[in-house]
Amino acid sequence: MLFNSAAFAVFLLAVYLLYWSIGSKQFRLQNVLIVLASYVFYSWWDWRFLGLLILSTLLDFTYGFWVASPDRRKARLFLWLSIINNFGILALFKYYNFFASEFATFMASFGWEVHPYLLTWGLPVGISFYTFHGMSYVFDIYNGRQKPIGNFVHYAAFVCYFPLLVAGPIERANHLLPQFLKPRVFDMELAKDGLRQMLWGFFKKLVMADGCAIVVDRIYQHGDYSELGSMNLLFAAVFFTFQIYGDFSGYSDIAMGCSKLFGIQILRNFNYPFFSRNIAEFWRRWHLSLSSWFRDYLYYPLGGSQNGKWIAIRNTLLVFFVSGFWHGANWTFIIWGILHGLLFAPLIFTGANRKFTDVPDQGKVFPSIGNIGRMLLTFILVTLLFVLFRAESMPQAGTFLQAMISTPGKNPGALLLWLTSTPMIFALIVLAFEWVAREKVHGLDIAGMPAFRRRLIYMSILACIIFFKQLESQEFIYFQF
Amino acid sequence: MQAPFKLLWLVMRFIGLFILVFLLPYAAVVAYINWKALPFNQGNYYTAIAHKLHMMDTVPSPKIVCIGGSASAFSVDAGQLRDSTGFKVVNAGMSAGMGYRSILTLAADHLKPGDIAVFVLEHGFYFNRQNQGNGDKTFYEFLATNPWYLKQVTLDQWINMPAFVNEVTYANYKRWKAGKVHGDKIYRSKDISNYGDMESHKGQKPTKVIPAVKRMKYRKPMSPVFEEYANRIFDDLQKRGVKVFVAYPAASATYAWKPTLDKTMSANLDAVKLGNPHEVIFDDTMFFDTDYHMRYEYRSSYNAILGHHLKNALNAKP
Repeated sequence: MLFNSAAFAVFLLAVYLLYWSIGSKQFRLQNVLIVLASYVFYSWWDWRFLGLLILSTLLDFTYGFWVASPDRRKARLFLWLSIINNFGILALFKYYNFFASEFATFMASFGWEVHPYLLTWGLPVGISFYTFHGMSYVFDIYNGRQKPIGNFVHYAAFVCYFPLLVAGPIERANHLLPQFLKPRVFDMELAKDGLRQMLWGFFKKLVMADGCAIVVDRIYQHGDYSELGSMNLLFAAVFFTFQIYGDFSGYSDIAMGCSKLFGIQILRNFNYPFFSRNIAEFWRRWHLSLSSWFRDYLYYPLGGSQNGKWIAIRNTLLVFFVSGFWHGANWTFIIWGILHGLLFAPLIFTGANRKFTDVPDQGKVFPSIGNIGRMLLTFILVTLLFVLFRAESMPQAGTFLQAMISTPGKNPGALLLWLTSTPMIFALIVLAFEWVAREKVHGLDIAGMPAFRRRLIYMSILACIIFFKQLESQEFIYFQF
Repeated sequence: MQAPFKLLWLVMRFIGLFILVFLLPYAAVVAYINWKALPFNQGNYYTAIAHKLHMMDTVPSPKIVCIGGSASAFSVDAGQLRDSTGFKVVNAGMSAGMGYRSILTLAADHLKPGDIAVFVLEHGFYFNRQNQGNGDKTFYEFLATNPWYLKQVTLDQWINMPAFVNEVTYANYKRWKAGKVHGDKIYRSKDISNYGDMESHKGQKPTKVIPAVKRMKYRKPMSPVFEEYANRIFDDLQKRGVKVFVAYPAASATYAWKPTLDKTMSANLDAVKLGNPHEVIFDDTMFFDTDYHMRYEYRSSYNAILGHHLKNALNAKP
């Protein structure tokens, strides 16, 4: 069930009405409703994988008790079993075909022909997200940050909570779980803010991201990149950066907003990443829930930055490698991750990785010249690396980047064409709104504005969604991960 | 009122306000402009499509109706098919840009029990939209010219309308202000024969292939969304006593790339297929302004094949 579908509108209304009809005193019953609703939501894509979701939930729920054992050796054993189980599920459903094909290619280089059996059942939607939810629960219990939950329904509500089930944010047991263990009180201001955030998310997804997607798809699917010329390719890369941001942060805004309607606050996933002044800051603002997951459960256990700069750099590169691989079983994602790590490493070495932790140009209307330059440079680097993310293979990415560099004089008119195109105008509108709201949680956090102006903005956004919504609405990109 | 329900009330109040303050005045302006432009659109290709639909009502049943896009409009010769099958024939080829859903929905409403529907496919399967089959501007231009067909607009088409309404209305506004009748030398209603064939290109030299069409290179089979929708309509028609056949479109040898033709023309449709896509590939010189619009004088090659298959299929025992 897509957020941008009529089915979801009906579903959300029905769940909302039932949820608050039950009342906050019966929060256990509300949790049962959340679990059932989430299973319906998930089955809408493919009911066959519902069993896998339930199995994964049951496994981590059970491991939770075993990992809590006061006998640390026993706890450690079960922790490893849980890790093997979760990664086993991921390896089988997400990575098996990749490894099998790579193995065949490797053997072929020695002249041995191998025909491995490839799985044809496809990738279960959201598998990377709900397995990470489960792992966070087990890890937190092992580290003493969380106690095992005795009620399976409460735990299942945490793992499969429908707003974040298929594309995150990746929640943490010690943040979300406690909210399912106590009554939720309806907060009118929170709910209103949720609706505002949902409207903003829909605008970013349906108008900005889907609009950019049309340009991006046309250019990427063009067979001959050198015929298109640098300018077209450059804008395709820029539009993809806008697309993936609008798509993913739009999804996260809808998920957060939707959750606020149920009185539940979920983790923030984006903090205006295009205002980052270096790559390190970018990763503190982009896909926060994944970055912090890897930081807490991989980077810190490896020693973090406690054992000197070289170890910190090694750990960072490892985190980026794993993060790239998490995104998909393709060399494009792996190289994308590693290259981000390589851009990050010099910042650790020079100590600049913790340099920009404040709000950029706080209290000012416009950014300073220096910050504009830094933001632009970061944006360009991120955009170039996103070419790898979008390409279907390394040769395609290579051809794309090569043509982008080698055909600067071709189609110069594309500059004006794309700068004045509808997707670019909407992307700039989004950036302008978010720049103004950069100290707030989302771009449409305008509760303090006079009612008339506020309504005018809501209506304008709604009108833009109605008139500029793309006919061929795309699935959210992060569903594939 | 409990707070959660009060929120719903606030949302509904806002939507009501939005409709009242924005959508209704907007719709009124759009309707007014398109209504004022109506006289200047008479005679265009969209009027011809309405004529064809009217022919389906007036030509008595049983009759053969060739349904499809412009490939059918240009390539089908109603007279020749009538001679080879013995049935009256209506060439209801419309414009592929309207999308398969619009074409099928419009045509299905005018078919009568006993009629024989021949659904002529298009290369690219009506622009190969995976999610939408009815999205293109052309359908809304058709509606602006023939507003009485608004009653046949489906929910999907209403939802998609805002994406095109501004563009179509602006074009009509310019036409109205300029007082200029919509005109095209080829795509006009007065050159449609009484059986729906295009006749405006009779005796004319072929023109250059429209560049936008030349760029279209279709390499994919039919969309499952298309198949599902078409099969639902076919099933409904067959239940109503309409025989349904599927025919392949004429196309130039350069345009239709033979090695992939079986793939690009493959479709799981629940209807008898007439022949195969390879036998209706002809020399490039036999086409008029695009690689699938046949020159008037060369249509007989296509219709001989289509007529032969149709006659055999109609004579075949069920």
